[in-house]
Amino acid sequence: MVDLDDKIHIQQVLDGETASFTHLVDKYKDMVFTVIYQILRQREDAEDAAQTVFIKAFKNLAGFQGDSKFSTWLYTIAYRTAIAKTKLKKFDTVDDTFHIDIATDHAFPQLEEMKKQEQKVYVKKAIDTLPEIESAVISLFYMDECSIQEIVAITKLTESNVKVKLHRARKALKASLEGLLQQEMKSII
Amino acid sequence: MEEKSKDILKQGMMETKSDFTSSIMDQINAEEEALSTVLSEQGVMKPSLDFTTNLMAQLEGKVPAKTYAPIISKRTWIFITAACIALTIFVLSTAQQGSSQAFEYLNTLDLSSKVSSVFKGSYGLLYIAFGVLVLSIGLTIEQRFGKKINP
Repeated sequence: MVDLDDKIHIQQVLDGETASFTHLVDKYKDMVFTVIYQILRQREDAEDAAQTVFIKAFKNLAGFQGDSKFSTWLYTIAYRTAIAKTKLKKFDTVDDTFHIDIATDHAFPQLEEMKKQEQKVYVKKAIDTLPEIESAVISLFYMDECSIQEIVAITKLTESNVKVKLHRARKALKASLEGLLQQEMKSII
Repeated sequence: MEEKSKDILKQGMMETKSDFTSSIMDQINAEEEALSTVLSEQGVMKPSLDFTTNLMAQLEGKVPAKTYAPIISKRTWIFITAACIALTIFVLSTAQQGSSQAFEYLNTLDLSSKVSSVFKGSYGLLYIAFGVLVLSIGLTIEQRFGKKINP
């Protein structure tokens, strides 16, 4: 189940080659940072927490059993570290009335000629309008292509809860990113 | 009368195009793909450029904690304990019955004269002492090697 490349580097680190950890850090730092940022919403805090996550992972690397992907194990540490930092455990429960129409309230104008950097800001703003856990879940699902089962393992939410959060987040993002998605759809169809 | 009016209404229903469903599904799939593309291309955030350097500086000279697996597994310990208990019960019961057959094998072992003199005439006690000895050795080994050691 563990990526062969990851397995080699993990073994090298366990054998005392600390430098091999650089490869794992470079491979996963963006996604770890993204997941943490979605929950903390503060760049500096997220960066500190991401450092903590990799230090924890390094120290406990021998405890990684290899029965799941290394990324799943790492994102679980990241998610828990971020949650512990913000004490956002209250968001773990489903709230049907929460943020259901947020996207329509914060709909952005049509942005046909948006440059790449501006698009990034636009997407970030759209994701920031989502509740923290939903944006973390949608990041794992779309940005790292985690399966529902992997997200369940990372977040310890129930499968139905993950699906509900994904559905809401997807609906909200489709509404708030409408202009950008139309542009993208033209290139797909 | 009612049946007739229903039929008339049914005739008035308009039919959709043959590719209606597929075009809707195409639209949904394209929307999903667009969202996936936009998020994976634009949504991933990057930490500062010196993130890895700072992190590796913190890890310099450190090694991951080693986890030691117990030499004797939990299942083996259960088996050893059960065997000792069973042996003790067996010895006690046969000793009470005054049977000497159970100890014939022990006699063939030719234990040292010192041990024999201590336990002379009381093989039951000898077996109990043996069981206690095995358990104490086992517990000592487990305490020394059977737990996680954090350097």
